[in-house]
Amino acid sequence: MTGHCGVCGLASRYACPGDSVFCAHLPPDPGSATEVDLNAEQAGYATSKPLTAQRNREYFRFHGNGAEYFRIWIVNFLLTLLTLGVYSAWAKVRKNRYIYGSTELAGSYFDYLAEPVRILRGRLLAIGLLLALFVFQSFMPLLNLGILALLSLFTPWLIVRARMFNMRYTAYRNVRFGFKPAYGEAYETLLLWGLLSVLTLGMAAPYAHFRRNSLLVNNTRFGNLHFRLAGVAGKFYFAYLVGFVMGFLLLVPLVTFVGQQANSAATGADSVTSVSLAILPVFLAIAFYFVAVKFAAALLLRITTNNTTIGGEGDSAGRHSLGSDWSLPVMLWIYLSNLVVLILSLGLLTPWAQVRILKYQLDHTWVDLAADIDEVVAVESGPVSSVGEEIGDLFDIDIGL
Amino acid sequence: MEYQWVAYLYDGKSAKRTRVKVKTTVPGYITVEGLSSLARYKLQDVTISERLGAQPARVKLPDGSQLEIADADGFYQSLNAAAGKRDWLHWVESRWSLILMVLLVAAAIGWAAYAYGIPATARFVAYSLPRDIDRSIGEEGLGLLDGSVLRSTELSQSRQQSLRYLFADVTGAVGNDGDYQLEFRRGGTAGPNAFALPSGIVVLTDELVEIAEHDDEIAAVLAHEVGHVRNRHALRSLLQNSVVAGVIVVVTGDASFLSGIVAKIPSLLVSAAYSREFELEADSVARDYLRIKNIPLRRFADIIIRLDTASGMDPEKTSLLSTHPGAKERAQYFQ
Repeated sequence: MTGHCGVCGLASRYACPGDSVFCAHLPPDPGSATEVDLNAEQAGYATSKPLTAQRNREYFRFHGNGAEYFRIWIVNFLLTLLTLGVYSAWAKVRKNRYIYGSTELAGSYFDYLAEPVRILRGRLLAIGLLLALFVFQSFMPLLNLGILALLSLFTPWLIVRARMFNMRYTAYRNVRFGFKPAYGEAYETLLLWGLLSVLTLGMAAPYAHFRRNSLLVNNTRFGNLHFRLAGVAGKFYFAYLVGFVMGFLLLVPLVTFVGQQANSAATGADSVTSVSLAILPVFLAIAFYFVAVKFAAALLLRITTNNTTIGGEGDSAGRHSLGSDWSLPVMLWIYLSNLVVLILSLGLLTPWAQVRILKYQLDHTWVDLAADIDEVVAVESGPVSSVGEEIGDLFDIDIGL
Repeated sequence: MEYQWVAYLYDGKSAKRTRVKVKTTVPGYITVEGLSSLARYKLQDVTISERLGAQPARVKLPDGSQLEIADADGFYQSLNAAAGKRDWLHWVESRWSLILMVLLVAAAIGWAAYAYGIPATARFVAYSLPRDIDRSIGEEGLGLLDGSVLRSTELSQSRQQSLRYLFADVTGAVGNDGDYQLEFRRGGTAGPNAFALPSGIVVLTDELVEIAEHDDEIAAVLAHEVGHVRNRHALRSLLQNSVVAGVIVVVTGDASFLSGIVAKIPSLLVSAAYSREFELEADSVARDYLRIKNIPLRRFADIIIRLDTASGMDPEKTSLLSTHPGAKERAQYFQ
């Protein structure tokens, strides 16, 4: 947030208290640094004010902009090409640093701290595995099922590892997030409930999804504050219903269109146009499917956010809570228009589209602070290998909420 | 040039923050002035985050605490001016003219890799691998097809025998060392068709034998299939498609929104394009055979156009998703 300095009038990202010592725009003062007495109490130094009063609402702010992110993204892309993919690990860190570092809460910015070399190692391993799978698939198609079964056995482990890695290297105010390696719960939630939702023909799927989000939220901590998701399984059922109805409504006109197209192709229309028109609906159908899925996911994210609290174990007064009020029609508009822009720009405007979504969502998300955030105490944990995250990424396992 | 900035100091033990003043007035040092503290660190003892867009600058101090300087531009400029350095990435990233060049270079590299780099590498790797690899690819292939699409042949023994002689003639002319074997099947839903398995087995369907108006036409088709085996197309396309899949995963691993379709469409288009190249390469083997045997080239053109018509395809057109070029396009090489 840009404010204006009370002394010099220049723009400053921190609200300037109007106290000249802390104005960023003072003329240079080359001599003073060496002369200051360490023990001297100096007039004019503001004490660090506690961030929060009672129930203080702080909005997230996303300061990234599409043009700036595009330039970073395209340079990442070129360097990744030139290094035959090796740079992709550095690219990922740069990209995440940009996104995390553009996210502000109460005057402080988030930070992404993963080391590229660690990501590279995980990525190499994941690509090796992927290649092996691809080759296996082509040589011995019959083994496919076995491999899939093996992969699904690994999935809970992968999801836990990925979450651990992501949380471990996310920081705010120099305090890291963390994730408890709750493998037992992960296997129960992801395998048992995943299987049950198949056996019940999807009836249990929203509940399984709720359990998965609970797993991810409830084992996450920021310093010594633990996140908690309240029981809202019913709302997950509602979100699934909305996604289902929407996908259906989008598909009906499309199927009609394809039907007409097939008819005109059969009656022998101009061959070139009929070919391109025959491909188009297929792409559109896939695209609309994704939009419906994304929309339901956005709804689920909102439900999850609005029912998550942080800290205050056994003391509801000291409990911070997350909230969001972004509107679903606006999200739908953003997803649909992003889709059109992405197709027309051949994917080049991906960074712009991403920034657009992040900005809208984060600017409409807040945390209600119940206690002083300064009291949060950092908890140490060792480095985490990125293997899980990278494999999860490559096999398209959704590790988000 | 400015020399001092307001910053937040985070001690790394709690989420507490303290407002401090950061100075770079003394070259080689960074000075942190707090309410009742003053500390000076050598620049080589602290870790300064790489400059990135308009991101806040972060300085990790030796005791685990961290400075966050929101007005980062001046801070980086003063440090770099003192050290005589330039942040190359940031320098490129902040100039649209250079970004345009980056875009053009990336497009050129992408195109060159797709058109030359990947196929050439795949060819090199495929020819350096032993032939046994080809045999193991799709060893089960025929078994799978027999179980699903293909039925046993209804051709008479004598017809099969004469076609086997024809096949021996073809492999003698254009085949290389490997063992080739001809199999007859009724195509069923596959219709008039012929295909080669990497192990050297060429499958010919009854329907194709019936649709052919001359044995030379069958011979030309067999030569085309032998071309696939000889040039190790199965292995090469496996390699090429793996590389394309890998590239797309690495590049779009970046784009979370719609990465699914954005990733799948190009890979579909690219592998279809590679497949069309292989068809043309196999066609040239068929052409060699016809020339060696002094058979009119149009025999091959005749049968592929008839095959396309029979399977309900328009011989005129090649779509972006076709694995084979349009029959008319292929036939023009056989006039």
